[in-house]
Amino acid sequence: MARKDNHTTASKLLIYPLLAFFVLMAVLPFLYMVSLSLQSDAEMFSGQVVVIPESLQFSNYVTIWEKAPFARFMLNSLIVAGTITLLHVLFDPLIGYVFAKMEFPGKRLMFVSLLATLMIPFFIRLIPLYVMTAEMGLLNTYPGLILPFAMSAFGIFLMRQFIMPIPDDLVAAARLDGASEFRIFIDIILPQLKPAIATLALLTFVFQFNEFIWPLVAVSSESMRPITTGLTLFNQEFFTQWNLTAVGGMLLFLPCFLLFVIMQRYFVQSVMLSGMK
Amino acid sequence: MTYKTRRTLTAYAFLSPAIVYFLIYFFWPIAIEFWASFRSGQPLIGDSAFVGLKNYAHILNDRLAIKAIKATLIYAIGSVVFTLVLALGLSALLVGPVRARNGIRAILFFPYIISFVISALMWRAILDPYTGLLNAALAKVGLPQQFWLVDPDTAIWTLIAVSVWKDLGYAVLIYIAAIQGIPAHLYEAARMDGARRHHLFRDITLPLLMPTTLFLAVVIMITSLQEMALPYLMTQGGPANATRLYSLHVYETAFQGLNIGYASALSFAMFMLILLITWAQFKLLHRDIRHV
Amino acid sequence: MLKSILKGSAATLIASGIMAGAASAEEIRIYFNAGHGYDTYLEVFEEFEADNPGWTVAFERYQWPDLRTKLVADFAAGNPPDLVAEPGAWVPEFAQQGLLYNLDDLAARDRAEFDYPGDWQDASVEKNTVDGSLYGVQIHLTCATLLYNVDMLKEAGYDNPPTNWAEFREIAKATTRNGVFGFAPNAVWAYSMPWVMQNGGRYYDPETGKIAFGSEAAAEGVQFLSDLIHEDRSAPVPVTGADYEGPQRLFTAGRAAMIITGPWDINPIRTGNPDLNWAVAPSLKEVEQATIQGGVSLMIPKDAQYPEQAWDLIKRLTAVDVEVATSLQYSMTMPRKSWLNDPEVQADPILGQFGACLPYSRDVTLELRQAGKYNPAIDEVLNGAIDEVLFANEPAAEVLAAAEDEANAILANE
Repeated sequence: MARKDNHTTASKLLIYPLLAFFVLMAVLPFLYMVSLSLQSDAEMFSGQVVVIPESLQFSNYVTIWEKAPFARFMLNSLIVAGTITLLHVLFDPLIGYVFAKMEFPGKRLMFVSLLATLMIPFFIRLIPLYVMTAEMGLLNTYPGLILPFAMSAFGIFLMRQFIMPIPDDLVAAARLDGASEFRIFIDIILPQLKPAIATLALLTFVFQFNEFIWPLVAVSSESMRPITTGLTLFNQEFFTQWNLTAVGGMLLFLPCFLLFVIMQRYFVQSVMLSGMK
Repeated sequence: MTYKTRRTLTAYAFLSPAIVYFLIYFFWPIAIEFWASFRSGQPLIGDSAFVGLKNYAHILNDRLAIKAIKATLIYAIGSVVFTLVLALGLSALLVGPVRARNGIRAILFFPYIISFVISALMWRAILDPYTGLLNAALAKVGLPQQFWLVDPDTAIWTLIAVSVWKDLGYAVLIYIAAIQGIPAHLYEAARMDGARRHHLFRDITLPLLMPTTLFLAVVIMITSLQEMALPYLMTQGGPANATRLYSLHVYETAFQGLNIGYASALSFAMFMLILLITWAQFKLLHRDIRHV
Repeated sequence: MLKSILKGSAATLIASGIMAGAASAEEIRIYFNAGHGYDTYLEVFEEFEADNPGWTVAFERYQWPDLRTKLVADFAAGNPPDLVAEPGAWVPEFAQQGLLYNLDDLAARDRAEFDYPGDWQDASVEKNTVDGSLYGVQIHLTCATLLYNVDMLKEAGYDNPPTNWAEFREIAKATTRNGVFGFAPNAVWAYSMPWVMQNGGRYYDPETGKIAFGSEAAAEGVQFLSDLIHEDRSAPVPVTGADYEGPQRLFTAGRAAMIITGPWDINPIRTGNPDLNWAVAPSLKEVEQATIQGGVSLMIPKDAQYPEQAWDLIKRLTAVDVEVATSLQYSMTMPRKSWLNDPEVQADPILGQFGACLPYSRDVTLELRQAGKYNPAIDEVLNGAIDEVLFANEPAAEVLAAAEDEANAILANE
């Protein structure tokens, strides 16, 4: 375990300021958001740079619940983003496995077609999707909000790329033993995929929790709005209610952060298992 | 039934829900828009007429579209290169013996979990030359005022910086997850052969990270080439259209200009370009993985 | 108290309606700007529900660009709402595509009790008339005019605000100090148009059928603004972005002596700096006195389920007493002539000043929209050109002439 040699004091002197810089940049807008969320209306409109508000307006965090049904918005966001995340965790690893480790005719074409779906912006599909959802009678319902995102090439591609480095001989040996493909997937692939699935769950949830344009068109009553479109209710025609918007930003941040903290366990755990320190 | 047929049937059985789903939710809407791209007037909304390739030919006369393609390429390439290089470096550091690395990792991921809409607005406020935090800080230490988002020459680079800022933690997360997925016995075998630490990174980690690098390069490239939210929120495409990225142009053509046929043609032209770039990325980065 | 009484009576009315078998649960859908959910309007909806047992008003609020995206998708799905607010440019556009309900018959039928268009300022009627027919009713009518910091002007030796360009330039220079600007311009291209129009320039010339913002007069206007920034350094380079707040923030902070804005900035300024001593002045007059006009109209989609009820709501929302109450409470200016003549409105120094600029204010792209040739791509061309002048200090005459050619090419291509 000879490893101290290349971690001299000199490189540490370089590494820590570098990391400090990245850490500072990463939190700067967050801190500014926290500061804004505690500012009074007067400070917000004052045109002065306010870093630490004169008196912390925790009342902003109360006002927002009075101005709009934010508990309901939060519930809607959680239901929609949570269900979509669950669907992805269920489907993407298996489909990724098929593309990574199985051979079958048409695989190349299907994979290319799958990737191609990432190359058309969502808003281009918006109108046909909206018409379709309207015809299915799913406007303003949870299924209507969930279905357009139930699967995506992104998650499948991510899982495929994570499964590819798993040695083929492991899979081949199991096949020789007569294990079914599903068993191989469950017994050999899945245990290796924990950090990858944690990543997938986190990325999917964060992305869906912040989705804006689809709920904007597919929701037509205030009670079905997620937080993202619910937040736009505060903004005036020509100016933004910055402090309340920042409070909303905190509401969007917290569930994602919690999920990150929960998922971090999987990353830390696998570091210890892989023993590469 | 031969093993081959059985394997094919199994594969298709696993894929069948996805095939049905993608046909309904992706290929059908895309086909409708493709149809619209050959029509003028108000396809989807009102009357329209078939015009052949006229919409596609018009792109060449659309100065804003051409300008947007250039800006978009700079933006996408810049975002991919800076994000990947920085993420790889940071991941290599953060799986090593660094103090508080879990905390650092968590903080680096903050930009990804703060709502993008909110963080873009925060950056705009922070970067404002007159009422922004950064210029106030610069003024305090006696440095000149900076016009990051206001100067047409620097605005696009400022957007790239914000995009790297946002994706960095996510790329680091994926890289670290990938590094942790590398079987430990590979390292042990190499160590027993007497390999040194930085050789381990070069000979084992880096090659085994190629699928991940490919994934990140492809995904960040594809999303950057379609980026719309960032210029929409931060600059509205200005100043002097310097940050008018292609998707913003398409969105405005479709929803502000109500020119849905032409907007579809613009999208499919971009689709061809993205396909080409992605193909090139696969050619460059897709290698067979040889296990040690 | 009032609300609960209204609700109580609504409940009884619903009950009696069900007994009579007349009422059914019907919902009338409205799209509105999120910033305009005024209490006065919410009361109107409550009254409507009380007067129409069994009916509910689904009041959906969005930001303008979001509202537009949603509306376009709704038109595609054949599922539009019953009543839509629009920010002043959509009525001719959608009417020409046959997507709006023609209001002529309804207006003629109700003229005795509801004088539309008679009681509306001409400009607001013109905006909502397409091929001689009415397709919308103005609900807010706004204009941007000069706001000035009284103390800062006094300090520099001026008791009165400027009335023409020479005075304006002089005062802007005199009030500029370290970190304080004489004038803070807005980055949005429309805010350059007062200078263009005051000098006799225009966006579009209906006589030639061509875009006209490349004219000498127009270029001089933009150049004047550019000179304030780059030559006199009495104005900051405007900051591009999605919002309109930049100049207001500088003005509120006492870091700009003058700005040009509309009545929507009254409340933010009062909240942000209650001690600021400021006033509103008439727009400048160079060749002519002019400024830009904005506002909101209400329109009914052709495929609306309940056009009759939507029209009823329009009448209620634009009633004079509602207009007066709304304008006093929310600092908004209104389109009705009897609103402008209302003594309470006249007595409000700030509202009154904004009201006074309405008659000479102009909707910049109206002529082009009425010709059925409006294309947002032209705005983009002009926006880019003005940016090049104001940010990069390019000569206005050349840049705008080139932009005019490009815009005319777009027009010819349509």
